[in-house]
Amino acid sequence: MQFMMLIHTDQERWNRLAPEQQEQHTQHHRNLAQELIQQGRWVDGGRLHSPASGASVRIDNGRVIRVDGPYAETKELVGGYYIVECADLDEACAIAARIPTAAFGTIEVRPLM
Amino acid sequence: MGEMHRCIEQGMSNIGSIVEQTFRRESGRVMAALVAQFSDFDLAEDAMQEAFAIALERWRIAGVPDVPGAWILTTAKRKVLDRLRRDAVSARALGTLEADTDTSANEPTEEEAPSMIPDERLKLIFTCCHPALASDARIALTLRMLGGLSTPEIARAFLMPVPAMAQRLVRAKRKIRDARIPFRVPFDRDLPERIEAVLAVIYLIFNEGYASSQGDTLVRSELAAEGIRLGRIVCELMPREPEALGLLALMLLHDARRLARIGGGGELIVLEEQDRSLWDMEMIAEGTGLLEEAMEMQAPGPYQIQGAIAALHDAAPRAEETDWEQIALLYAELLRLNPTPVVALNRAVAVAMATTPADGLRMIDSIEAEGSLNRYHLLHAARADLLRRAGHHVPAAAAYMRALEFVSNGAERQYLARRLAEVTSRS
Repeated sequence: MQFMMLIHTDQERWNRLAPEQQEQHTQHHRNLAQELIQQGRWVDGGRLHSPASGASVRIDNGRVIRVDGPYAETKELVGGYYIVECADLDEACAIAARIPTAAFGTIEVRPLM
Repeated sequence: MGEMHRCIEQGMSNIGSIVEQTFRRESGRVMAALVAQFSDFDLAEDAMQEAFAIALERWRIAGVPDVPGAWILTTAKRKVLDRLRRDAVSARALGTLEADTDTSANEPTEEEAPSMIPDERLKLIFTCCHPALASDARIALTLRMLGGLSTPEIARAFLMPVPAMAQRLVRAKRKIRDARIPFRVPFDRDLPERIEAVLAVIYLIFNEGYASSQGDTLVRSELAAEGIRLGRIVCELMPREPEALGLLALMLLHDARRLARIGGGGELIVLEEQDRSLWDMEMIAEGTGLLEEAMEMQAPGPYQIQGAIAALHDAAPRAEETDWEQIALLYAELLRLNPTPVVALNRAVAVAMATTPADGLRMIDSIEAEGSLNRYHLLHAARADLLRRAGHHVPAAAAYMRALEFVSNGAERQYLARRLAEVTSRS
Protein backbone atom coordinates (compact mmCIF):
# COMPACT_ATOMS: atom_id res chain seq x y z
CA MET A 1 0.00 0.00 0.00
CA GLN A 2 1.31 3.42 -0.92
CA PHE A 3 1.37 6.25 1.58
CA MET A 4 1.88 9.89 0.78
CA MET A 5 3.87 11.90 3.27
CA LEU A 6 3.15 15.57 2.83
CA ILE A 7 5.85 17.71 4.37
CA HIS A 8 4.38 20.87 5.87
CA THR A 9 7.01 23.42 6.77
CA ASP A 10 7.30 26.90 8.09
CA GLN A 11 9.31 28.72 5.43
CA GLU A 12 10.52 31.37 7.88
CA ARG A 13 11.98 28.78 10.21
CA TRP A 14 13.76 27.17 7.29
CA ASN A 15 15.13 30.54 6.18
CA ARG A 16 16.55 31.18 9.62
CA LEU A 17 18.73 28.04 9.46
CA ALA A 18 22.43 28.57 8.72
CA PRO A 19 23.48 27.45 5.21
CA GLU A 20 25.49 24.51 6.60
CA GLN A 21 22.42 23.40 8.62
CA GLN A 22 20.31 23.58 5.48
CA GLU A 23 22.89 21.53 3.61
CA GLN A 24 23.02 18.94 6.40
CA HIS A 25 19.23 18.74 6.40
CA THR A 26 19.13 18.15 2.65
CA GLN A 27 21.79 15.47 3.03
CA HIS A 28 19.61 13.66 5.60
CA HIS A 29 16.77 13.68 3.09
CA ARG A 30 19.04 12.17 0.45
CA ASN A 31 20.23 9.47 2.84
CA LEU A 32 16.70 8.49 3.82
CA ALA A 33 15.54 8.46 0.18
CA GLN A 34 18.56 6.32 -0.73
CA GLU A 35 17.73 3.84 2.01
CA LEU A 36 14.09 3.62 0.89
CA ILE A 37 15.17 3.08 -2.71
CA GLN A 38 17.46 0.25 -1.63
CA GLN A 39 14.60 -1.34 0.31
CA GLY A 40 12.45 -1.14 -2.81
CA ARG A 41 9.88 1.01 -1.00
CA TRP A 42 10.47 4.30 -2.74
CA VAL A 43 7.75 5.36 -5.17
CA ASP A 44 8.25 9.07 -5.63
CA GLY A 45 9.15 12.25 -3.85
CA GLY A 46 10.45 15.72 -4.25
CA ARG A 47 10.90 19.17 -2.96
CA LEU A 48 8.73 22.10 -4.03
CA HIS A 49 9.75 25.65 -4.79
CA SER A 50 8.51 28.24 -2.31
CA PRO A 51 4.71 28.72 -2.20
CA ALA A 52 5.06 32.23 -3.60
CA SER A 53 6.54 30.82 -6.79
CA GLY A 54 3.31 29.04 -7.70
CA ALA A 55 -0.32 29.84 -8.28
CA SER A 56 -3.74 28.53 -7.24
CA VAL A 57 -6.55 27.87 -9.68
CA ARG A 58 -10.24 27.24 -9.15
CA ILE A 59 -13.39 27.55 -11.18
CA ASP A 60 -16.07 29.92 -9.93
CA ASN A 61 -19.35 30.08 -11.85
CA GLY A 62 -17.68 28.67 -14.91
CA ARG A 63 -14.90 31.23 -14.76
CA VAL A 64 -11.33 30.27 -14.08
CA ILE A 65 -9.93 32.18 -11.12
CA ARG A 66 -6.17 32.23 -10.82
CA VAL A 67 -4.49 33.49 -7.69
CA ASP A 68 -0.79 34.04 -7.20
CA GLY A 69 0.78 31.94 -4.50
CA PRO A 70 -0.88 29.48 -2.15
CA TYR A 71 -4.60 29.37 -1.50
CA ALA A 72 -4.49 29.36 2.30
CA GLU A 73 -2.87 31.92 4.53
CA THR A 74 -1.30 29.47 6.97
CA LYS A 75 2.21 29.46 8.30
CA GLU A 76 2.92 25.81 7.52
CA LEU A 77 2.69 24.95 3.83
CA VAL A 78 3.53 21.90 1.77
CA GLY A 79 7.21 22.04 0.95
CA GLY A 80 7.68 18.54 -0.44
CA TYR A 81 6.43 14.98 -0.36
CA TYR A 82 7.42 11.33 -0.27
CA ILE A 83 5.37 8.45 -1.64
CA VAL A 84 6.47 5.24 0.03
CA GLU A 85 5.29 1.65 -0.04
CA CYS A 86 4.37 0.57 3.52
CA ALA A 87 2.48 -2.35 5.06
CA ASP A 88 0.32 -0.19 7.31
CA LEU A 89 -0.10 3.15 9.03
CA ASP A 90 2.31 2.34 11.87
CA GLU A 91 5.09 1.52 9.44
CA ALA A 92 4.33 4.68 7.44
CA CYS A 93 4.40 6.83 10.59
CA ALA A 94 7.70 5.27 11.64
CA ILE A 95 9.24 6.30 8.31
CA ALA A 96 7.60 9.72 8.40
CA ALA A 97 9.15 10.32 11.81
CA ARG A 98 12.58 9.87 10.19
CA ILE A 99 11.98 12.57 7.59
CA PRO A 100 14.34 15.27 8.89
CA THR A 101 11.77 18.05 8.42
CA ALA A 102 9.61 16.41 11.11
CA ALA A 103 11.87 18.21 13.59
CA PHE A 104 10.55 21.63 12.59
CA GLY A 105 7.43 20.97 10.61
CA THR A 106 4.63 18.43 10.38
CA ILE A 107 4.48 15.33 8.21
CA GLU A 108 0.95 14.47 7.17
CA VAL A 109 0.67 10.75 6.43
CA ARG A 110 -2.15 9.62 4.13
CA PRO A 111 -2.81 6.38 2.30
CA LEU A 112 -3.31 6.56 -1.47
CA MET A 113 -6.58 5.11 -2.66
CA MET B 1 -46.93 -32.47 31.82
CA GLY B 2 -46.91 -29.15 33.67
CA GLU B 3 -43.80 -30.28 35.52
CA MET B 4 -42.09 -31.11 32.27
CA HIS B 5 -42.96 -27.73 30.81
CA ARG B 6 -41.47 -26.03 33.81
CA CYS B 7 -38.30 -28.07 33.42
CA ILE B 8 -38.02 -27.15 29.77
CA GLU B 9 -38.69 -23.52 30.44
CA GLN B 10 -36.16 -23.49 33.21
CA GLY B 11 -33.72 -25.27 30.93
CA MET B 12 -34.33 -22.69 28.26
CA SER B 13 -33.76 -19.73 30.50
CA ASN B 14 -30.64 -21.44 31.83
CA ILE B 15 -29.31 -21.83 28.30
CA GLY B 16 -30.14 -18.18 27.72
CA SER B 17 -28.11 -17.12 30.70
CA ILE B 18 -25.24 -19.48 29.82
CA VAL B 19 -25.11 -17.96 26.33
CA GLU B 20 -25.19 -14.50 27.87
CA GLN B 21 -22.38 -15.34 30.29
CA THR B 22 -20.37 -16.86 27.47
CA PHE B 23 -20.89 -13.64 25.53
CA ARG B 24 -19.70 -11.46 28.41
CA ARG B 25 -16.69 -13.64 29.10
CA GLU B 26 -15.59 -14.66 25.62
CA SER B 27 -16.82 -12.14 23.04
CA GLY B 28 -13.66 -10.01 23.21
CA ARG B 29 -11.48 -13.05 22.71
CA VAL B 30 -13.64 -14.41 19.86
CA MET B 31 -13.78 -10.99 18.20
CA ALA B 32 -10.00 -10.63 18.41
CA ALA B 33 -9.39 -14.08 16.95
CA LEU B 34 -11.79 -13.38 14.06
CA VAL B 35 -10.25 -10.01 13.25
CA ALA B 36 -6.78 -11.57 13.44
CA GLN B 37 -7.80 -14.11 10.83
CA PHE B 38 -10.00 -12.05 8.51
CA SER B 39 -8.81 -8.45 9.07
CA ASP B 40 -12.36 -7.16 8.82
CA PHE B 41 -14.24 -5.80 11.84
CA ASP B 42 -17.69 -5.80 10.22
CA LEU B 43 -17.39 -9.34 8.96
CA ALA B 44 -16.15 -10.49 12.38
CA GLU B 45 -18.95 -8.69 14.23
CA ASP B 46 -21.73 -10.09 12.05
CA ALA B 47 -20.38 -13.62 12.17
CA MET B 48 -20.00 -13.54 15.95
CA GLN B 49 -23.56 -12.30 16.42
CA GLU B 50 -24.82 -15.08 14.21
CA ALA B 51 -22.80 -17.69 16.08
CA PHE B 52 -24.31 -16.63 19.41
CA ALA B 53 -27.81 -16.74 17.91
CA ILE B 54 -27.16 -20.29 16.69
CA ALA B 55 -25.78 -21.25 20.12
CA LEU B 56 -29.06 -20.18 21.72
CA GLU B 57 -30.91 -22.76 19.60
CA ARG B 58 -28.32 -25.52 19.32
CA TRP B 59 -27.23 -25.70 22.95
CA ARG B 60 -30.83 -26.30 24.05
CA ILE B 61 -30.96 -29.44 21.94
CA ALA B 62 -27.38 -30.69 21.89
CA GLY B 63 -26.26 -29.38 25.28
CA VAL B 64 -23.62 -26.84 26.16
CA PRO B 65 -20.23 -27.70 24.62
CA ASP B 66 -17.21 -28.25 26.88
CA VAL B 67 -15.52 -25.08 25.72
CA PRO B 68 -18.36 -22.74 24.77
CA GLY B 69 -16.09 -19.93 23.52
CA ALA B 70 -14.22 -22.24 21.17
CA TRP B 71 -17.52 -23.55 19.80
CA ILE B 72 -18.62 -19.97 19.14
CA LEU B 73 -15.35 -19.17 17.39
CA THR B 74 -15.52 -22.23 15.13
CA THR B 75 -19.15 -21.51 14.28
CA ALA B 76 -18.39 -17.85 13.60
CA LYS B 77 -15.51 -18.80 11.28
CA ARG B 78 -17.94 -20.99 9.32
CA LYS B 79 -20.32 -18.07 9.06
CA VAL B 80 -17.54 -15.88 7.70
CA LEU B 81 -16.77 -18.56 5.15
CA ASP B 82 -20.43 -18.83 4.15
CA ARG B 83 -20.57 -15.12 3.73
CA LEU B 84 -17.33 -14.91 1.73
CA ARG B 85 -18.51 -17.69 -0.48
CA ARG B 86 -21.92 -16.13 -0.97
CA ASP B 87 -20.53 -12.73 -1.77
CA ALA B 88 -17.53 -14.22 -3.56
CA VAL B 89 -15.70 -11.29 -2.05
CA SER B 90 -12.25 -12.69 -1.87
CA ALA B 91 -11.08 -15.87 -3.50
CA ARG B 92 -7.82 -15.60 -1.63
CA ALA B 93 -9.34 -15.46 1.88
CA LEU B 94 -11.47 -18.46 0.91
CA GLY B 95 -8.40 -20.42 -0.01
CA THR B 96 -6.72 -19.93 3.36
CA LEU B 97 -9.89 -20.84 5.20
CA GLU B 98 -10.65 -24.11 3.40
CA ALA B 99 -7.37 -25.45 4.68
CA ASP B 100 -8.22 -25.35 8.37
CA THR B 101 -11.99 -25.59 8.60
CA ASP B 102 -14.25 -28.40 7.58
CA THR B 103 -17.35 -26.81 6.15
CA SER B 104 -19.57 -29.84 5.67
CA ALA B 105 -21.63 -29.26 8.82
CA ASN B 106 -23.17 -26.07 10.07
CA GLU B 107 -22.00 -26.30 13.66
CA PRO B 108 -18.94 -27.92 15.11
CA THR B 109 -19.29 -31.24 16.86
CA GLU B 110 -17.68 -31.82 20.26
CA GLU B 111 -14.61 -33.42 18.73
CA GLU B 112 -13.77 -30.74 16.20
CA ALA B 113 -14.22 -27.70 18.39
CA PRO B 114 -10.73 -26.64 19.52
CA SER B 115 -10.16 -26.61 23.26
CA MET B 116 -8.64 -23.12 23.28
CA ILE B 117 -9.19 -19.76 21.67
CA PRO B 118 -5.96 -18.07 20.58
CA ASP B 119 -5.70 -14.86 22.59
CA GLU B 120 -5.38 -11.97 20.15
CA ARG B 121 -6.96 -9.42 22.48
CA LEU B 122 -3.75 -7.47 23.00
CA LYS B 123 -3.65 -6.67 19.27
CA LEU B 124 -7.34 -5.82 19.37
CA ILE B 125 -6.97 -3.31 22.18
CA PHE B 126 -3.98 -1.61 20.56
CA THR B 127 -5.95 -1.27 17.34
CA CYS B 128 -9.04 0.09 19.09
CA CYS B 129 -6.91 2.62 21.01
CA HIS B 130 -4.73 3.65 18.06
CA PRO B 131 -3.62 7.30 18.27
CA ALA B 132 -4.78 7.92 14.69
CA LEU B 133 -8.37 7.49 15.92
CA ALA B 134 -10.22 10.28 17.72
CA SER B 135 -10.53 9.81 21.47
CA ASP B 136 -14.33 9.34 21.30
CA ALA B 137 -13.89 6.70 18.63
CA ARG B 138 -11.30 4.83 20.70
CA ILE B 139 -13.65 4.65 23.68
CA ALA B 140 -16.63 3.47 21.62
CA LEU B 141 -14.60 0.86 19.73
CA THR B 142 -12.97 -0.53 22.87
CA LEU B 143 -16.33 -0.94 24.60
CA ARG B 144 -17.88 -2.51 21.50
CA MET B 145 -15.08 -4.83 20.37
CA LEU B 146 -13.28 -5.76 23.56
CA GLY B 147 -16.03 -5.15 26.11
CA GLY B 148 -18.80 -6.73 24.03
CA LEU B 149 -21.24 -3.88 24.76
CA SER B 150 -23.98 -3.35 22.17
CA THR B 151 -24.22 -0.08 20.29
CA PRO B 152 -27.44 0.91 22.16
CA GLU B 153 -25.71 0.14 25.48
CA ILE B 154 -22.76 2.37 24.61
CA ALA B 155 -25.08 5.10 23.34
CA ARG B 156 -27.04 5.00 26.60
CA ALA B 157 -23.88 5.11 28.69
CA PHE B 158 -22.75 8.27 26.89
CA LEU B 159 -26.25 9.81 26.76
CA MET B 160 -26.17 9.83 22.98
CA PRO B 161 -28.80 8.86 20.41
CA VAL B 162 -28.23 5.33 19.10
CA PRO B 163 -27.84 6.36 15.42
CA ALA B 164 -25.13 8.87 16.35
CA MET B 165 -23.18 6.23 18.27
CA ALA B 166 -23.67 3.72 15.42
CA GLN B 167 -22.32 6.34 13.03
CA ARG B 168 -19.29 6.92 15.26
CA LEU B 169 -18.50 3.20 15.23
CA VAL B 170 -18.99 2.93 11.46
CA ARG B 171 -16.61 5.86 10.88
CA ALA B 172 -14.01 4.40 13.23
CA LYS B 173 -14.09 1.04 11.49
CA ARG B 174 -13.88 2.73 8.10
CA LYS B 175 -10.86 4.69 9.25
CA ILE B 176 -9.13 1.52 10.46
CA ARG B 177 -9.67 0.04 7.02
CA ASP B 178 -8.84 3.07 4.87
CA ALA B 179 -5.84 4.33 6.82
CA ARG B 180 -4.51 0.80 7.24
CA ILE B 181 -4.37 0.96 11.00
CA PRO B 182 -2.66 -2.34 11.73
CA PHE B 183 -3.92 -5.19 13.87
CA ARG B 184 -0.78 -5.95 15.85
CA VAL B 185 1.19 -5.20 18.96
CA PRO B 186 3.10 -1.94 18.31
CA PHE B 187 6.81 -1.66 17.59
CA ASP B 188 8.90 -1.69 20.79
CA ARG B 189 9.92 1.89 20.20
CA ASP B 190 6.26 3.01 20.15
CA LEU B 191 5.16 0.76 23.00
CA PRO B 192 5.34 3.20 25.96
CA GLU B 193 3.29 5.84 24.12
CA ARG B 194 0.82 3.22 22.88
CA ILE B 195 0.35 1.62 26.30
CA GLU B 196 -0.30 5.08 27.68
CA ALA B 197 -3.02 5.57 25.06
CA VAL B 198 -4.67 2.24 26.01
CA LEU B 199 -4.61 3.05 29.72
CA ALA B 200 -5.99 6.53 29.05
CA VAL B 201 -8.99 5.07 27.19
CA ILE B 202 -9.75 2.69 30.05
CA TYR B 203 -9.43 5.44 32.64
CA LEU B 204 -11.74 7.70 30.61
CA ILE B 205 -14.34 4.91 30.49
CA PHE B 206 -14.05 4.41 34.25
CA ASN B 207 -14.23 8.12 34.98
CA GLU B 208 -17.21 8.64 32.73
CA GLY B 209 -18.94 6.04 34.89
CA TYR B 210 -17.52 7.19 38.20
CA ALA B 211 -17.82 10.96 37.88
CA SER B 212 -19.86 11.53 34.78
CA SER B 213 -19.49 14.98 33.34
CA GLN B 214 -23.12 15.24 32.39
CA GLY B 215 -26.50 14.41 33.79
CA ASP B 216 -27.72 13.92 37.30
CA THR B 217 -26.46 10.45 38.03
CA LEU B 218 -23.09 10.83 39.64
CA VAL B 219 -22.16 7.20 39.27
CA ARG B 220 -23.10 5.45 36.06
CA SER B 221 -21.89 2.29 37.64
CA GLU B 222 -21.98 0.03 34.59
CA LEU B 223 -19.33 2.13 32.90
CA ALA B 224 -17.14 2.15 35.99
CA ALA B 225 -17.50 -1.63 36.23
CA GLU B 226 -16.67 -1.90 32.53
CA GLY B 227 -13.53 0.19 33.05
CA ILE B 228 -12.43 -2.14 35.83
CA ARG B 229 -13.18 -5.22 33.72
CA LEU B 230 -11.09 -3.81 30.85
CA GLY B 231 -8.36 -2.91 33.34
CA ARG B 232 -8.29 -6.53 34.48
CA ILE B 233 -7.99 -7.74 30.88
CA VAL B 234 -5.06 -5.40 30.22
CA CYS B 235 -3.31 -6.56 33.42
CA GLU B 236 -3.83 -10.16 32.39
CA LEU B 237 -2.36 -9.41 28.96
CA MET B 238 0.54 -7.25 30.22
CA PRO B 239 1.29 -8.56 33.71
CA ARG B 240 4.70 -6.86 33.82
CA GLU B 241 3.38 -3.37 33.07
CA PRO B 242 3.41 -1.46 36.38
CA GLU B 243 1.20 1.39 35.15
CA ALA B 244 -1.48 -1.09 34.04
CA LEU B 245 -1.48 -2.55 37.55
CA GLY B 246 -1.43 0.98 38.96
CA LEU B 247 -4.48 1.95 36.93
CA LEU B 248 -6.45 -1.13 37.99
CA ALA B 249 -5.50 -0.43 41.62
CA LEU B 250 -6.54 3.21 41.26
CA MET B 251 -9.94 2.28 39.84
CA LEU B 252 -10.61 -0.33 42.54
CA LEU B 253 -9.52 2.01 45.33
CA HIS B 254 -11.93 4.68 44.09
CA ASP B 255 -14.80 2.38 43.24
CA ALA B 256 -14.58 0.84 46.72
CA ARG B 257 -16.16 4.07 48.03
CA ARG B 258 -19.04 4.03 45.52
CA LEU B 259 -21.84 3.21 47.97
CA ALA B 260 -20.69 5.83 50.46
CA ARG B 261 -20.35 8.52 47.83
CA ILE B 262 -24.01 9.02 46.95
CA GLY B 263 -26.67 9.88 49.50
CA GLY B 264 -30.27 8.68 49.54
CA GLY B 265 -31.35 11.67 47.47
CA GLY B 266 -28.66 11.10 44.83
CA GLU B 267 -26.49 13.88 46.27
CA LEU B 268 -22.71 13.80 46.37
CA ILE B 269 -21.16 12.94 49.72
CA VAL B 270 -17.57 14.18 49.89
CA LEU B 271 -14.81 11.93 51.21
CA GLU B 272 -14.70 13.70 54.55
CA GLU B 273 -18.38 13.08 55.28
CA GLN B 274 -18.67 9.53 53.97
CA ASP B 275 -19.78 6.62 56.14
CA ARG B 276 -16.58 4.61 55.93
CA SER B 277 -18.30 1.40 57.04
CA LEU B 278 -19.90 1.38 53.58
CA TRP B 279 -16.53 1.13 51.86
CA ASP B 280 -15.81 -2.18 50.14
CA MET B 281 -12.89 -3.56 52.14
CA GLU B 282 -12.31 -6.45 49.74
CA MET B 283 -11.83 -4.05 46.85
CA ILE B 284 -9.51 -1.91 48.94
CA ALA B 285 -7.45 -4.96 49.87
CA GLU B 286 -7.24 -6.03 46.23
CA GLY B 287 -6.30 -2.52 45.07
CA THR B 288 -3.65 -2.16 47.76
CA GLY B 289 -2.16 -5.53 46.86
CA LEU B 290 -2.00 -4.64 43.16
CA LEU B 291 -0.36 -1.35 44.01
CA GLU B 292 2.34 -3.07 46.07
CA GLU B 293 2.96 -5.49 43.21
CA ALA B 294 3.31 -2.56 40.79
CA MET B 295 5.65 -0.63 43.05
CA GLU B 296 7.97 -3.61 43.41
CA MET B 297 8.71 -3.20 39.70
CA GLN B 298 10.44 0.10 40.53
CA ALA B 299 9.02 2.13 37.67
CA PRO B 300 6.69 4.70 39.19
CA GLY B 301 4.18 6.52 37.02
CA PRO B 302 1.12 8.73 37.29
CA TYR B 303 -1.40 5.92 37.79
CA GLN B 304 0.64 4.29 40.55
CA ILE B 305 1.01 7.63 42.33
CA GLN B 306 -2.70 8.40 42.06
CA GLY B 307 -3.38 4.84 43.27
CA ALA B 308 -1.11 5.44 46.27
CA ILE B 309 -3.02 8.64 47.09
CA ALA B 310 -6.35 6.79 46.89
CA ALA B 311 -4.90 4.01 49.07
CA LEU B 312 -3.90 6.54 51.76
CA HIS B 313 -7.44 7.92 51.82
CA ASP B 314 -8.86 4.40 51.99
CA ALA B 315 -6.49 3.46 54.82
CA ALA B 316 -7.75 6.17 57.18
CA PRO B 317 -10.41 4.83 59.58
CA ARG B 318 -11.65 8.40 60.13
CA ALA B 319 -11.26 11.50 57.93
CA GLU B 320 -9.17 13.22 60.64
CA GLU B 321 -6.66 10.38 60.53
CA THR B 322 -5.84 10.91 56.83
CA ASP B 323 -2.10 11.15 56.20
CA TRP B 324 -2.26 14.50 54.36
CA GLU B 325 1.49 15.09 54.61
CA GLN B 326 2.19 11.93 52.65
CA ILE B 327 -0.60 12.78 50.19
CA ALA B 328 0.86 16.27 49.63
CA LEU B 329 4.26 14.69 48.89
CA LEU B 330 2.69 12.28 46.40
CA TYR B 331 0.93 15.16 44.66
CA ALA B 332 4.25 17.00 44.42
CA GLU B 333 5.72 13.93 42.72
CA LEU B 334 2.69 13.66 40.42
CA LEU B 335 3.06 17.34 39.54
CA ARG B 336 6.67 16.72 38.57
CA LEU B 337 5.66 13.92 36.15
CA ASN B 338 2.49 15.60 35.04
CA PRO B 339 2.75 19.38 35.41
CA THR B 340 -0.85 20.43 34.87
CA PRO B 341 -2.87 23.06 36.77
CA VAL B 342 -5.41 20.42 37.84
CA VAL B 343 -2.69 18.41 39.60
CA ALA B 344 -1.37 21.65 41.12
CA LEU B 345 -4.87 22.36 42.45
CA ASN B 346 -5.08 18.95 44.09
CA ARG B 347 -1.68 19.47 45.62
CA ALA B 348 -2.77 22.86 46.98
CA VAL B 349 -5.72 21.22 48.76
CA ALA B 350 -3.48 18.48 50.20
CA VAL B 351 -0.97 21.07 51.42
CA ALA B 352 -3.78 23.06 53.03
CA MET B 353 -5.00 19.97 54.84
CA ALA B 354 -1.50 19.06 55.96
CA THR B 355 -0.68 22.58 57.16
CA THR B 356 -3.11 25.51 57.23
CA PRO B 357 -5.85 26.67 54.81
CA ALA B 358 -3.87 29.89 54.22
CA ASP B 359 -0.97 28.00 52.59
CA GLY B 360 -3.34 26.22 50.24
CA LEU B 361 -5.26 29.40 49.42
CA ARG B 362 -2.05 31.14 48.37
CA MET B 363 -1.29 28.27 46.01
CA ILE B 364 -4.82 28.38 44.58
CA ASP B 365 -4.43 32.14 43.98
CA SER B 366 -1.31 31.60 41.93
CA ILE B 367 -2.93 28.74 39.96
CA GLU B 368 -5.84 31.04 39.16
CA ALA B 369 -3.46 33.84 38.16
CA GLU B 370 -1.95 31.47 35.62
CA GLY B 371 -5.36 31.58 33.96
CA SER B 372 -6.35 28.24 32.44
CA LEU B 373 -8.58 27.07 35.32
CA ASN B 374 -10.63 30.26 35.71
CA ARG B 375 -13.77 28.55 34.51
CA TYR B 376 -13.12 25.22 36.26
CA HIS B 377 -15.72 24.72 39.00
CA LEU B 378 -13.40 22.68 41.21
CA LEU B 379 -10.90 25.54 41.53
CA HIS B 380 -13.60 27.77 43.00
CA ALA B 381 -15.03 24.91 45.04
CA ALA B 382 -11.60 24.14 46.53
CA ARG B 383 -11.08 27.80 47.44
CA ALA B 384 -14.58 27.96 48.93
CA ASP B 385 -14.00 24.86 51.06
CA LEU B 386 -10.69 26.19 52.40
CA LEU B 387 -12.21 29.59 53.18
CA ARG B 388 -15.09 27.86 54.96
CA ARG B 389 -12.64 25.79 57.02
CA ALA B 390 -10.78 28.95 57.95
CA GLY B 391 -14.08 30.49 59.08
CA HIS B 392 -14.18 33.20 56.37
CA HIS B 393 -17.82 32.71 55.50
CA VAL B 394 -18.44 35.78 53.33
CA PRO B 395 -15.62 35.15 50.81
CA ALA B 396 -16.46 31.42 50.99
CA ALA B 397 -20.01 32.18 49.85
CA ALA B 398 -18.68 34.24 46.93
CA ALA B 399 -16.41 31.35 45.90
CA TYR B 400 -19.26 28.80 46.14
CA MET B 401 -21.29 31.05 43.86
CA ARG B 402 -18.44 31.14 41.34
CA ALA B 403 -18.22 27.34 41.46
CA LEU B 404 -21.97 27.06 40.88
CA GLU B 405 -21.63 29.15 37.73
CA PHE B 406 -19.41 26.54 36.11
CA VAL B 407 -20.53 23.15 37.50
CA SER B 408 -22.33 20.81 35.07
CA ASN B 409 -22.95 17.67 37.13
CA GLY B 410 -26.25 17.72 39.03
CA ALA B 411 -25.04 15.94 42.17
CA GLU B 412 -22.06 18.26 42.50
CA ARG B 413 -24.35 21.23 42.02
CA GLN B 414 -26.49 20.03 44.94
CA TYR B 415 -23.42 19.72 47.16
CA LEU B 416 -22.20 23.23 46.31
CA ALA B 417 -25.67 24.72 46.84
CA ARG B 418 -25.88 23.07 50.28
CA ARG B 419 -22.49 24.48 51.29
CA LEU B 420 -23.46 27.90 49.99
CA ALA B 421 -26.62 27.83 52.15
CA GLU B 422 -24.51 26.80 55.18
CA VAL B 423 -21.95 29.58 54.92
CA THR B 424 -24.63 32.16 54.07
CA SER B 425 -26.58 31.31 57.23
CA ARG B 426 -23.41 31.67 59.32
CA SER B 427 -22.18 34.91 57.85
